[in-house]
Amino acid sequence: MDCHQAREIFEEHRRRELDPARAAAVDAHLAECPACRAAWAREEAVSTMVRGLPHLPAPPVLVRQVRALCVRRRGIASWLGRPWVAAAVAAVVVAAVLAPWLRRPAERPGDIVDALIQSGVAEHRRILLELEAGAIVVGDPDTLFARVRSVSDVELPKILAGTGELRLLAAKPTLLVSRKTAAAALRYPTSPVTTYFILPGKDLPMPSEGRVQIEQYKPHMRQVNGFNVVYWKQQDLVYIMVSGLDREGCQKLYLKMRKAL
Amino acid sequence: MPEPSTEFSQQALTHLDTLYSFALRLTKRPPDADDLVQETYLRAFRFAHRFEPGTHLRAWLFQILRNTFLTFYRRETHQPVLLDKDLEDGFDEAAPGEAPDPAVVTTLDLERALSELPEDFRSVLLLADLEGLALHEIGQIMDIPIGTVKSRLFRARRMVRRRLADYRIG
Repeated sequence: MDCHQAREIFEEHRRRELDPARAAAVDAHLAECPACRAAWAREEAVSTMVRGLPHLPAPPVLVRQVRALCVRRRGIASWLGRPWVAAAVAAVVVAAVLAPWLRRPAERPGDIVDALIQSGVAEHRRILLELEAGAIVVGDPDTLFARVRSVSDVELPKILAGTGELRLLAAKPTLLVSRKTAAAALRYPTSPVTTYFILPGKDLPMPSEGRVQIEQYKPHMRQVNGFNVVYWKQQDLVYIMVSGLDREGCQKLYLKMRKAL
Repeated sequence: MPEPSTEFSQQALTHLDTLYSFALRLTKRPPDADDLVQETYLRAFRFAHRFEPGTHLRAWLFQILRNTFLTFYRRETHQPVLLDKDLEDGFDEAAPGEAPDPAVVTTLDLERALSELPEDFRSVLLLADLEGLALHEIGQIMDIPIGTVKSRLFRARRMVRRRLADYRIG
């Protein structure tokens, strides 16, 4: 084995991925070649230091959020896995077939809605950080909206360019759960930021749970990580509004936008 | 869409600290690392039915995390610039004395040197040396052949050595 052949498989040898015969051949070469021994030692020194780096524990808040995510997703599935629950569910199904006058249980909001909302909140937090860092500069809204449309294929409505004291802070194309989305962040002076996400939503469900009557409208509303979130469908689009405003302020702003759209 | 099994979810959750550690060293910002890990788990639970039992769950999760990072974060993150000396090819024939002494190098120096590596190199080094993943798993996560994994690993270690040497001189 020459130097080139030995160094070609140094990494496999370091990770004990070689068969015994080839490992012995590399060891034999190292024993007789000072240059390769030095090269091995240089690699090994860095490898040893990196191996010694600490694993940084996830913050408790994140642990809780991820566990909640897991529980929420498998909530119904794990209950159905229990024999007595499965039997009870079967009985309900039979009863429903036999007695069509029984009301069907409320439909569970699609997981995709959960995922979109979580993703929207994460993106809203990113936008807040960028605004805080002064990393976003808003120029002419028309030009900005055209650029967003060219990437996201979604037209941001003119109302999101701001009206009166409601000021546009940022607009960008983004992805929510791998779906092309247009985002626009706005706020009133001294009020918290609200971000609107708009994406094509023909195939997306409207959850029957968590609906709130706001005048003639009934959007889905919930709180996620301290932000109020409103989700609704309008024509073929889905709108997600993530806001630091309180519930009442959020509903007022929703209504203003909903009527203007 | 099928729900992930309890066993799958529990196993996935045992890798939370490891994933967070990797996410933090990729994004360099705790809020971004939080978001990245959450997004990773959302996708993992959503696509749990695509995971092949018997394969390495940790490697699969790393793959989702890195792909998510590339999709959402890399465009926004300032990428470190390669130095001319990083681009030199061939064996590193420097004197044996160039090897850093682990007793002298502090964790902070090492973290700083790592953070200055381009993401492709930093990821390979962390996955190989800190996480101890097999070469073929790293190739799968990074979507590159094993030969490329090895050459990136070699160059990443050389970049670290040179940065550590620069700190000593500085």
